[in-house]
Amino acid sequence: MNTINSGRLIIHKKPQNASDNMAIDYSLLLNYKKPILRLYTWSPPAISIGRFQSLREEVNLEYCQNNNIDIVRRITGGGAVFHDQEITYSFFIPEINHYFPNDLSRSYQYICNSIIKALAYLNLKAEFKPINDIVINQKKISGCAQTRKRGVILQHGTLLIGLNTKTMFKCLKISKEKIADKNIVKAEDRVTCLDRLLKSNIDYQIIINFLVKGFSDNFDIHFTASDLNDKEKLTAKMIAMNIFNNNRWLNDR
Amino acid sequence: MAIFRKKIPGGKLLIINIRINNGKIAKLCISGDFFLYPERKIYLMENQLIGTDIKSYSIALKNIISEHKIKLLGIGIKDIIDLIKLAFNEYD
Repeated sequence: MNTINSGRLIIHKKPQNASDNMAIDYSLLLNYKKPILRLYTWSPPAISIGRFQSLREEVNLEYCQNNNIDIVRRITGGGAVFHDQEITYSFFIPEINHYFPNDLSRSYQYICNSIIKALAYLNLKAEFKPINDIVINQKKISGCAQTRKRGVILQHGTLLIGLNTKTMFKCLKISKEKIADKNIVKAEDRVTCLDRLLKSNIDYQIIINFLVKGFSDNFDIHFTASDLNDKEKLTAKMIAMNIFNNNRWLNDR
Repeated sequence: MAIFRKKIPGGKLLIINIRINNGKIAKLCISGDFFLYPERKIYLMENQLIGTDIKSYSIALKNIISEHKIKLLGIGIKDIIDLIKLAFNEYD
């Protein structure tokens, strides 16, 4: 296989908090030089809401505060996500490329194909479900969101390893229509995770390896391990302080 | 302020938080789990609709979207127009 492109692979040794995770993504986007695949985890558990979501409509603020669950507003649109037992990916690629046309829907699908390939290596048959979901037997295992700045796409998304639906539904406000018990069961039926599908203890490292392979194969990119450089770290620090830890941003709508 | 919600079939949830005074939009907040590009244009969209009435709001919205090349994913211009129309009708 000819690998004609090179990219950076950033894998954090430890989980990070919500603001830092989002700030690093934004910093890498602003400082973009070549394709990046970043894989990370979250501690403490957190809710991230989409750029355009109403904080009060989506999140049980009191429950989150009382249970030390972080809340962050993403720079990307999309829905509210409970981040806990998952591996999150962030992928950075130019808008104009030879992989997919400059079309929003097609770009989501093409990038998500990397995750689908990774799941195939685990013998799991996953499908892309427009607009931005990956499902296995119609149950969602991965969601994602995208933004573009200065000609670069950032798409970040989740791959669920385990799922604590009880906590998730306490953090998130489900609309009135879904609040009845029978609908909570239904909502739970709409998601799945690797723990349930593989019925064994998941080694995060194995999943990480397959995710890297999925992106590498999908984009024909050879990834080299990399850390954030000093400029990226400083930018991330400033962004964490001024944006993601800023109440005005969180309460934007 | 009144809240109007619409789940777009095969798409996302659109919520408008709106106040209409004397037949004109006085306050507007558009929220939901949709995608909009470029993201910062949401403020422009909301601000430019302030002061419009039932006859002028939809053309104002179409103009902003066209002029600023705003792209929507998960909701359409028509969905926003329909939901604001509902608000105007409810306020009457």
